[in-house]
Amino acid sequence: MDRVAAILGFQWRAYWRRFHRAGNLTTNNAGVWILFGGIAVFRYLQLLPRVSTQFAHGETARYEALLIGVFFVWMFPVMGESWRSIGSRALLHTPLTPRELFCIRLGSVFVSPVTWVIVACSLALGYPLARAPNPVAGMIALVLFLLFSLAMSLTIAHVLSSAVMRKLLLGTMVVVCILVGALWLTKRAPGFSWWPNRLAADAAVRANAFGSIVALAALTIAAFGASFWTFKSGLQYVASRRSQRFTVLGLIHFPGRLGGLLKKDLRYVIRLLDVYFAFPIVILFVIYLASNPEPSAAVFRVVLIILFLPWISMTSNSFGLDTPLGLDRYSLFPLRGCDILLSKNLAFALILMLLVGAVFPLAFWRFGPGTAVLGLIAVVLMALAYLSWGNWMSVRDPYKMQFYRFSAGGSPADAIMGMLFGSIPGLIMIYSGTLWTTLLLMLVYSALYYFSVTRSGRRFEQQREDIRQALS
Amino acid sequence: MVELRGLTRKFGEFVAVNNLRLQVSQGTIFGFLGPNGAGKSTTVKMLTGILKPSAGDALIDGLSIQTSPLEIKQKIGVLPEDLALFDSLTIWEHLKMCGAIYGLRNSETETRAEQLLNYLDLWTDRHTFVEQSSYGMKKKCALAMALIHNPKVLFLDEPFEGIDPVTSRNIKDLLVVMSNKGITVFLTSHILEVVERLVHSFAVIVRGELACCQTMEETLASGRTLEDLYFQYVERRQVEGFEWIG
Repeated sequence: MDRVAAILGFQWRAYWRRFHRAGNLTTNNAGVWILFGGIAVFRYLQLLPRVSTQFAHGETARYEALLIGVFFVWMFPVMGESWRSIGSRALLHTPLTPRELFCIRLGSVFVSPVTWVIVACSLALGYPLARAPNPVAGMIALVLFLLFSLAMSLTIAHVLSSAVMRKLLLGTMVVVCILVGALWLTKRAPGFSWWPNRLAADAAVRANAFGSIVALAALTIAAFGASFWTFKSGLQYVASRRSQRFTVLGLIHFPGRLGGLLKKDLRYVIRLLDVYFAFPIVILFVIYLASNPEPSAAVFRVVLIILFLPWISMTSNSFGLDTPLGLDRYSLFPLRGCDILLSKNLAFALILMLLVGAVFPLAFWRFGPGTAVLGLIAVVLMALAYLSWGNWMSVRDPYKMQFYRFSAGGSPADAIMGMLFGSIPGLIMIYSGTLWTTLLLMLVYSALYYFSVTRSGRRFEQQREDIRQALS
Repeated sequence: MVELRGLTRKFGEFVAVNNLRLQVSQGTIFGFLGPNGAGKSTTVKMLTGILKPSAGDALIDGLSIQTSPLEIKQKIGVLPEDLALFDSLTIWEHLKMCGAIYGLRNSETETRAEQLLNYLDLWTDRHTFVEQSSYGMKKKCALAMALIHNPKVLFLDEPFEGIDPVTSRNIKDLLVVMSNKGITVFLTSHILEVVERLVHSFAVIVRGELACCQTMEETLASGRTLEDLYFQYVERRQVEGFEWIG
């Protein structure tokens, strides 16, 4: 374990060196994150006394909801890990066993202070547990639940690193979405008693707490087993891979000067997890349109606005998935900055067309041509608005993102502003979709987009070295 | 064809390249030599548009790198130090992308790409993703990208490092053919034996400053080898104090 401790020591040193090098709170939006994180923690702490009161009455609904939140929050330090300086792959040539490598992987999660804030907030759930009928059992179950969350986050992160497992996970998610959608629409959603959050709550209030703890312990051990197995498989896969893979995108030829870049950018877009939040929205809405006897046009318009929200990090940080080497290649090509931005915008537009293409034939059938065409115009306007905002932000405040991870590091304030700005044309179209309004909006947002892409393109050329620095 | 006019690059207080002045005429194979950290790659990066000079200028085919960067990029081919490839594209897709960007017709791109990849022994691996390729394969891919649009000036940063002997020989033969057809080749390398046999003229840069610039003919006429001349400007240490080895 000395070797593991030594490497973790250097991991710690490298992290804090990078942290200090940042210099001030404006770098990587640290100040904004601290502000928003502080508000979230404050709000969370305010909820704890209410959970405590519920416990006193033997109720656990709020506690279970908070545990679900805690479970998802644990995913962020594990999956938004662009801060990890020494990756497992870089250690493959050293005489470390897979178990030691896994320990380093696990220990690295705790290098970030964000993780320690999450640990403290998670353990703060012990306060309401003090008023539960079985406080000790509840606390043991809580710790097990937190370990389970950590192990599941690690497993998901490892699964996402393997192409085959990623496809399996995506397929499973689509099937689950369809099933949940169908069950929800037919109002036959079952209540599972084996959910880990339910088990943790049961341990705190039920007479038979032992059974819940044993079940939770079994789930935690299984989760850690899965995380170790997926980690080990990932290492072996990396060591042996060399293939000429068949891909659908490989068969498609995009014409024009930017065709090759567009193909590359499409591959980048589909590798950011944030955008996959749009898929369940589309699937559920398609089920709603197909099965509801009287679907609402208002819901249709609102869904169109919601459909854009997961794209904010992609559109506002177009260079986030590029490497410094990729930026060097852009510099070598005889291309202007606006050409490069345009290829990134086209990649976004193509994926959007695919998503919208699944919705609009049904919308046309259920709502008639008028509503469908107005919806389509709203989509075009919102796309222009999101891209206008996004191009500006992409060169103003770039930050590094990683494939198959959630984007982390952008300013939440900027993201909220971007969502509001991007949704404005959609909201105007909902409340006043007249011909003149539509024409005026088309004119304004087309001009705005043109101005954004040319101006941001020029700024990209001027600030290329700064952007390269921000992404390295 | 390539003219450096007081080219300078600073990183904060550190001067990586200082007031570099030299000329390379058309059809010349020019070797740009120096120890690690001397400023070779920084100079190539400035000439190819990756880095902006802090001061000075350079002309390539009569065009200034400060005022006509896009026109210059259309005329040059570059094998950069770090190869600058996109992991999510295959070798074939890289060449197709390049052809389109430089304005070649699709059929023309495919014909040239096939010829280049066959010559560089990369044809059977053309559908391999770059992220799964070996270093040598990546280097050959980057080299093919530098050549596909028939550049007037070729900048090659360490072209023979990590390349197998057969391909290395093929590249040398190709460079000689290109030079005979009037294409200027500006290359950096640490392999002095190769440079000695290949280049027409060379320069040695030490700590960002030009230490020496002459033709290969002048060097050989003085009765010295390139290595002799190189070590005249670049210090080397003796092996001593390694008793613990072995």
